[in-house]
Amino acid sequence: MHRASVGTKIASTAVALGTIIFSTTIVTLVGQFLIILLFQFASRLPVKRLLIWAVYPAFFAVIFAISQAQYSAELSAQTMLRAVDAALLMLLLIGTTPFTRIIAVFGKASRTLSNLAFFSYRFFFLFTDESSRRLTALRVRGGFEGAIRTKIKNAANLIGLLFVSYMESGEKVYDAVKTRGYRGEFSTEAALLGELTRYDFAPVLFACVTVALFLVGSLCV
Amino acid sequence: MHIHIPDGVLPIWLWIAGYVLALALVALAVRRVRGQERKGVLAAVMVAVMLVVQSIPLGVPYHINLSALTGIILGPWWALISILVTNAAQASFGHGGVTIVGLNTLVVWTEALIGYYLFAALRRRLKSSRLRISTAAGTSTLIALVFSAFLVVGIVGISAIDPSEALGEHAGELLGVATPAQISLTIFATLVLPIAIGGALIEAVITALLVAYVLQVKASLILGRE
Repeated sequence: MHRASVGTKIASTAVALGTIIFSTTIVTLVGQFLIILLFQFASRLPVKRLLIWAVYPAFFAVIFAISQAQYSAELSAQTMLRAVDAALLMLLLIGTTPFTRIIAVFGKASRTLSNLAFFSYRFFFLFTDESSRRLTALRVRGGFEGAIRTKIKNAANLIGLLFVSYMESGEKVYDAVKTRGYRGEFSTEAALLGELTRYDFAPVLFACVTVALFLVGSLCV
Repeated sequence: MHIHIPDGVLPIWLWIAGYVLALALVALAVRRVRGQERKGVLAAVMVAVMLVVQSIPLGVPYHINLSALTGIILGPWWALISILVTNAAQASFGHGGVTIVGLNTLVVWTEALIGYYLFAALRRRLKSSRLRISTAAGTSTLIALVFSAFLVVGIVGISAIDPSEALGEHAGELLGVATPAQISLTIFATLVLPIAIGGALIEAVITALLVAYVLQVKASLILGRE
């Protein structure tokens, strides 16, 4: 999946997502779950870690599953499975495609949006590193010890400090790119649907299998 | 409040309407912010900040968004664009359904919008003192988040409307939504509102303290204009 074109992967993900949304049987949803896992495994993605990430949407889906339980237990199970399938599907796309290339494709719709996404992507990793560094520093200095009032105050000061530091980093990055000629646009060369190669076979096969499963499931109901 | 609705729960017409409205507003916002490159970078910082703070565990099924603060700092139009990018990035990691990005953007933008206008109004009345300005930020955040929690419940309520009753027998079929979403609104509201209101209180306190800190070291971020 890694070497397939971005456009093919986005299209196959959209098709697979459609089949997940419209599937009305648990068997189909379980089948789709297994197929996504299979493709993740074949793409050498860390399946175990991705499954742990999928627990998060499943956790929030519980609220809906409980709210639907009075209609039928099957409906609740479908909601849970749909949430997990859709999350794993998106992780398959993100795991096999550099995020910047996905942004570049969507940048064809709006330069403002893609510029914002490019900058945010850069900042996110900068900020994550800085947050964890400063959080560790505060912990080892006993910032989270003592009365609850002290803990909240220290945590808020930490967030405030990080916030100001992030803003300053943002301004520095802006000054740096402006000096290098940035005038509000990054030029990107992302072909949405370039020439199809043999590597595009994998996402096409993936889409076909999910559609076939969906059709079989729908006919059996 | 961010809607963590999985894909396939809400009827198609509702999430498509959400996308259409959100994208129309974003198109308008893109026109309104043209030429504000420096603020665009600030908006990108806010997107990254929103993404980072959402990963901070609070011990309850709630995470802070800082959406009201985003509205206060960026103003309504840049806030809308930032919120769309944040929601799209989250959906790509399975945090909220992909089909819900449009509705989520509208809900979270409401928080930014209320936060922005309420903070501006309170600031005019309360004059300038660090304590008062930070209290205004906290109060605006609280009201914005409580409002959006009810808005989410309202959206789920709308999804439970039977289209054939609301639009006539054939209209529902034409729209491809012959059946309403089967969600008990009472159970949903009972589960969600206490968490959302408790979370709103936490976020309001954090926002007030954060604004107090920022006013001390770099007040122009909160008070300054581009």
